[in-house]
Amino acid sequence: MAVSVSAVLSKIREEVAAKGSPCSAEADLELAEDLYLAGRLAVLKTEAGTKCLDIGEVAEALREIAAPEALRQEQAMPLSPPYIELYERGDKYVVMGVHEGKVYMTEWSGVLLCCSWSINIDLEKYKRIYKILSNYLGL
Amino acid sequence: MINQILSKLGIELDDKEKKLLSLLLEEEPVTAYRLASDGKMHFSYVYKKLDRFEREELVTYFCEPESGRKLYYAMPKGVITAMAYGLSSQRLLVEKLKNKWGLSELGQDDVLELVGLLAQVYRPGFPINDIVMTSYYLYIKYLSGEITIDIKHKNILNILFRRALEAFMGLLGEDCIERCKAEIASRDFFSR
Repeated sequence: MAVSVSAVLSKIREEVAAKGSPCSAEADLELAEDLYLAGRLAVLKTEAGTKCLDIGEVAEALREIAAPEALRQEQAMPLSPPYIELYERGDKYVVMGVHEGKVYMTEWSGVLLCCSWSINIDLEKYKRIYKILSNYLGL
Repeated sequence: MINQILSKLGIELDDKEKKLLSLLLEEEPVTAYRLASDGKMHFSYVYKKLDRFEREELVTYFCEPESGRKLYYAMPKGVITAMAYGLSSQRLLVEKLKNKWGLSELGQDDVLELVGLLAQVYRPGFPINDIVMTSYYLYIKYLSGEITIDIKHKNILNILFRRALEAFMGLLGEDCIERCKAEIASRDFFSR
């Protein structure tokens, strides 16, 4: 039970490229070098032009985890699924998960757990975000 | 001169990275959450960029004592990169460099001269974020004749090396610094 934001963005990029329409929407959130959100629209900017596609609740789910605020560093603890991986590069990754009814964000480097923080996302909302993103990826 | 440093440092930032570095310099020390909120960038994207900045030694972080939140701040290499790209007022960036290097006695022109000199001698592995090691490195290269220092730089480098020497001697204790302070202050290390 894990979704990767990177995988979600890759799928959005593919869908907008394939099904999007030319547009000039004003982006309000940068997702990646070439990908933005403008309301419910995913906006893909390429050399060939700008395309938009309504991605509905996926846009909202991405917004909900656009700025997870670390409230307090906690003792290292085993997190339970569902997991949402925010970032991954080689052996370094940042993942959100659940422990005793609360949502936490942890940063790993190789086998070492660097830090765990409680964050400002409640469990019900977190589960809803996970469900939207995992459905989108067809998991 | 200062623009040459980008190629020497091997740093190339895209527009988004420039925006993020500029925001970080404005708000430092700052959390990734704050950068994402204020920069209207997704946390995943901000984190990816901060990870790159860390690997390039442009920024680093400390954990806030109370909350343990990661607070990012620019290292001297990050400030010099921002200078080269003109990401903020030169005056502000010079002040930041002076603070980060602990060289409050240097004037704005002196700092710019020093940055220009570092741009000339920089090579991979040069300890640009550690002013004490930078001073030591320059002094060794100067003594071995690998670099020549012109008159206008000698005064700056003497200030720099005296500060570095005090920092080294500080490892032995305050008494040690007090005993040698006058001699360090009176000696020109870059004199030829």
